Amino acid sequence: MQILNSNFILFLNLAIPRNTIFKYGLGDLIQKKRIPEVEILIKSLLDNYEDIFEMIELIFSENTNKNQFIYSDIIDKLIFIYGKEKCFPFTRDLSSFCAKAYFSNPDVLNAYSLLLTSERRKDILNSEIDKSLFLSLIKND
Amino acid sequence: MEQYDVAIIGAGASGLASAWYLSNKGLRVVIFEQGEELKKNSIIPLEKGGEIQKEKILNPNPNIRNTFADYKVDTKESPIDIANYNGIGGSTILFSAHYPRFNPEDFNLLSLDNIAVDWPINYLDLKPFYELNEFHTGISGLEGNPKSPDIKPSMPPVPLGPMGRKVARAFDTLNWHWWPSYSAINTTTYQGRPRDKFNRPSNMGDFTSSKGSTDNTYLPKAISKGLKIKDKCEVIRLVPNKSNNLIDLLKYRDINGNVFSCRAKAVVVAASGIGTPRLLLGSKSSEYPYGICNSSGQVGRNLMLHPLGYVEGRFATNLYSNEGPQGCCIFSQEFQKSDKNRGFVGGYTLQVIRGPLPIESAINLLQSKQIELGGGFVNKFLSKYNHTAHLAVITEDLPESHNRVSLDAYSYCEDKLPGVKVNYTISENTKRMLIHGLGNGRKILKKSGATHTSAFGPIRYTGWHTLGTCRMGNDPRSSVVNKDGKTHEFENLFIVDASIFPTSSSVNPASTIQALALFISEKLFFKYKNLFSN
Repeated sequence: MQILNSNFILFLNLAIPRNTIFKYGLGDLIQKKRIPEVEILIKSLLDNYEDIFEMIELIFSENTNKNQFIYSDIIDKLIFIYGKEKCFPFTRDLSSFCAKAYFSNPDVLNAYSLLLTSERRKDILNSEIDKSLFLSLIKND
Repeated sequence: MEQYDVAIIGAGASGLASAWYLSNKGLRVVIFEQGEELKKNSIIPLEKGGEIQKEKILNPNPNIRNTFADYKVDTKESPIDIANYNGIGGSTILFSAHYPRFNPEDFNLLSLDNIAVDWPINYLDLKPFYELNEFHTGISGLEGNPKSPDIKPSMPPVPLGPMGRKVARAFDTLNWHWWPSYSAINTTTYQGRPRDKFNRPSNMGDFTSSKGSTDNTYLPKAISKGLKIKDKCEVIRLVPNKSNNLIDLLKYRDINGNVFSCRAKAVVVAASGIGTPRLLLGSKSSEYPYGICNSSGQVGRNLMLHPLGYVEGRFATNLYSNEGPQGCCIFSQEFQKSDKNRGFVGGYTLQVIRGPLPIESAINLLQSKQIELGGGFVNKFLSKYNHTAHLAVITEDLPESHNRVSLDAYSYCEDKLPGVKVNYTISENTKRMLIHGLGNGRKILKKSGATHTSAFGPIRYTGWHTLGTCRMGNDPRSSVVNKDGKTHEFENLFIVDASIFPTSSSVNPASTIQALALFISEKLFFKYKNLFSN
C-alpha cells in the first residue's frame, strides 16, 4: 500500500469536497479507508499521469494558502500548460477514478441513501401496481 | 488414461444443460471448465461497496478481468468488445437473465424474407426443449404474448418499478407492442431456490441462488446424476483419427500447466461462439493444417454480435430506475419483423433496462458533461441520479463471412491454446437498423415524459451474444455441423453452443442456446446411440 502524497489528497478533496451531509472529501476518504480495488486504481492513475501530478504539486507550491484553490482553476491551468488534447485523457480518467473511489465507499452510499433499504425497495417495486397494466395488456391482445 | 462416455468442454449455458441431460440418461459424463466456481462469499454486497467489483472479477471483458481462466481476445479490428464469463455457469453468471425465445419466423429468414439462410431445424423442433429448459431454469413473466403465445411462465413477472410503468404507458399510447420481460429470475420460490429480493442487479453475480444461472439450475441436478467436474482445466486440443473419423482423445492442461489426456466415446463442445472456434482452429496438425472441422473454411466465420444501441431519457422526478433486475423490465417486438420499407432487412427489439448504480451513473454523468467535479459535485449528482429511463436497441445481426474469429497467431504453442482475434464490421444494413431503432427509442422515451433524450450506438462493451462461428446446415461446404449438431467431419464430435446458430434473431439468445443444447443432447443419446454400444 503506497503512502499518498498530501498534494494528491488535497487535489482529490478539491475534486469531490466535503459537504454538509458528508464530512470527508474524496482525498480524506481514501486515506481513511484503504480499499484494495481502489488502491489498484490509484496506482494506475499516478503511474499514467506522473508528469501531470508533478505539475499539480508545482501549482500548489506556488501558493502557500492551499485553501484558496478551486478545482476548475487547476484544471484550467493544466489545460493552459499542456493543451486540451493532452488534458482530455487525464480529466476523463480522473473523473472515472473519482466516481469509483467515492461511490465504492459504504459510508458514502449510506450518507446519501444511494441504495434503498429492503423495506423501501419493496414499496418502490410493489408489483400490485403493475397488475392493472398487465390486465389491460391481456385484454387488448 | 481416463475414459468417459461423454466429455463436455465448457460448463456454461449450453454445457451444463447438456451435462444434465446426458448424466440423467445414465451416461458417464465429465465436463471440463477452464475457470472455477465464483464463490458466493467472494461477492461483496452493494451496500458494502460491491459495485467496485465490476472493475475486476465481475467485469464482463475477459481482457480486463484477466484471470487464469481468461484468454486474450483481440478486438482492435472490431467496434464491439467481447463480453463473457469464464467459470462454472459461464456467461450466465453475469447475464442479465432476460430470457425470451426466438420466434418461429427467426428460423426461416431465407424462405420468408429472402435474407441470409434458413436453419436446418425449425421452431417446432425446439419447442419441447424450450419447455423442458424453462421448467429447469424457472421463468417469470406473463402468459398471452401475441408474439410468443407458447411461453407459459411458471412465476409472475418481475416488478416494473416506476420507470417501467412510465415507459409501458407510453408504449400503450403509441399502440406499440410491449410485454413484461421473460426473466430467468425467481419471483416466487421455485424448485427449492428462493425468491429474488432484487438486492443487486442481475448482471453482477448472485449469492442467493434466485437467478436461473446454470450453476444454480442444471449443475446440482447433473452432479446428483454423477457428473464429474474438472474445473481449472482447459482443453487445449482435440486429437482426431483420420482413419475412422473419430476424435480419439482430448488433451487438457491444469492450472499448474500439467498436460493430461482423456478419452470419450463422444465429445461435446460448448465453449461459446468465441471459445469453440478457438479450440477447433487450435487443434490443427499436419493432417489438419487449418484446424479440425474446417475443410469448408467456415470455422470462425459468420460471427454475429447483436450490435446494441442505448437510449437514455432524463426525467424531472426520481424514477428509482436502478431498482430491479438489470436487463429485465419490459420489451417490445413492434419492429422485430423484417419490413423492407424501413430501408433495411431484419428487425430489432426494444428492451427497457434498469438504470446504472452510483459509480456507473456518476461516470456517465461526468463524461456526458451533465455534471462536473469540484464544488457542488454531490448536489448535482443527486439531482440526476436515478432520474433516467434506459432502453436498449438489439439489432438482428445477419451472418457475413468476413466477420470472424481467428487465432492470434503470435501466441501459438503446442501445449497452450492461443488467444483469438476478432475481425468484425457492422454492415450498412445494421447501421440503418440501429439508427431506426435509436429514433424510435427516443420517441418512446419522449412520449414517456423525458425532458431530454440521448441516443448512441453501437456500444463497445456489449458483445455478449457471440453467435454463428461454426454454423449449422445441411451442406458441409457452407456449414460446420449438421442439423443434429454433429460435426460434418467427425462421427463423435458435437457442438451445442451459440456458435452453431445460422442466424441471430434480435433477442437475448440464452433460452435458445439451452433449448438447442438439450435438443442436440437428445439426438446424441438416441440417434447416435451406437457411439455408446461398446
